Amino acid sequence: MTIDAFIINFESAIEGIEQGSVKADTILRDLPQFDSLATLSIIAMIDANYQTTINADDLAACATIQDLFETVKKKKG
Amino acid sequence: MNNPFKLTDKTILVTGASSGIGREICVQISRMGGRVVATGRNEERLKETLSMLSGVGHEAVRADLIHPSEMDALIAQTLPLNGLVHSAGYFKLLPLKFVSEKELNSIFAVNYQAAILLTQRILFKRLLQPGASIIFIASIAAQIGSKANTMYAGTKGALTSSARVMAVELAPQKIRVNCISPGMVKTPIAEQTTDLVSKELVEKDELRYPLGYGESADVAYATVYLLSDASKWMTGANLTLDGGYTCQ
Repeated sequence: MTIDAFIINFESAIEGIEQGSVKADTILRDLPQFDSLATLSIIAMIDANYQTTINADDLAACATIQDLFETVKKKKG
Repeated sequence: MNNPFKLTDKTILVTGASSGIGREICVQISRMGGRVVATGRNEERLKETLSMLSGVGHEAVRADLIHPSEMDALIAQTLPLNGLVHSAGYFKLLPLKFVSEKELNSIFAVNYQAAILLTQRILFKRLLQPGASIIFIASIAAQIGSKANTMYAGTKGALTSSARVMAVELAPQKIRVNCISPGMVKTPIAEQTTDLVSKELVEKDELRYPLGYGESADVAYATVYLLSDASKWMTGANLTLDGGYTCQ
């Protein structure tokens, strides 16, 4: 799995995010679209695309997209 | 003097009895003198439920209701019933963009189909006594639009609609059919949602309930009422039990 593909999947999962606007060092909580539905969408996207389950605590521990990517990669094994 | 709210001499089958609302329903039925047939998928937790019941004569039968053979085995062992409570079900949030055929089939199989088919089989075998009471545990989710709840709300809406039909169809046999629609109740399902959605959001959500979140016992007490003779004129009803959430 690559960070670039992950970013594309991330952008598609959340409403209102423009393709190409998110970078690896983007801070999740700085995104105005990052509401509760976005949280659920990210979790669902990761389950669907990477067959990996993460929860709210896992997400809370991630500051940036890169952090999230690493978390998923680690959980996926 | 006969207390119409008691469940003396009544035998009641409860699905989803291994935990949460289903378990508490079994407990309260037993406290009101009813005889419980508890069913669920987890043998260990069913035994625990049994150990919590007052009085004697209760039974636990393990069954996964999405498997026809297990449903049949359950029914083969079931004696005539005065009540049937459908509390088996699961909850899953998925934004609409991520809803799939697989997920839909799965949640409908458990939350809707199993409940309908179990009722059908029990009726077919003539196991329901005249005056029996059937209860579906639905949810306020069927009446409100809450994000990521397409599937679950769909299953509960399906239950409440079908229950009204059943109420009319079975009235000639004096069998009553009603639903209870709880709001958020503190159970393992609710804890699972907290894990998914974050503690802050859950706490914020609870503030939107005038009386806060509910407890399994609240749903169990309403179930006892619907199972008892005290509600003999109630059928086709859907009791909203939500701490005031939907009345705002």
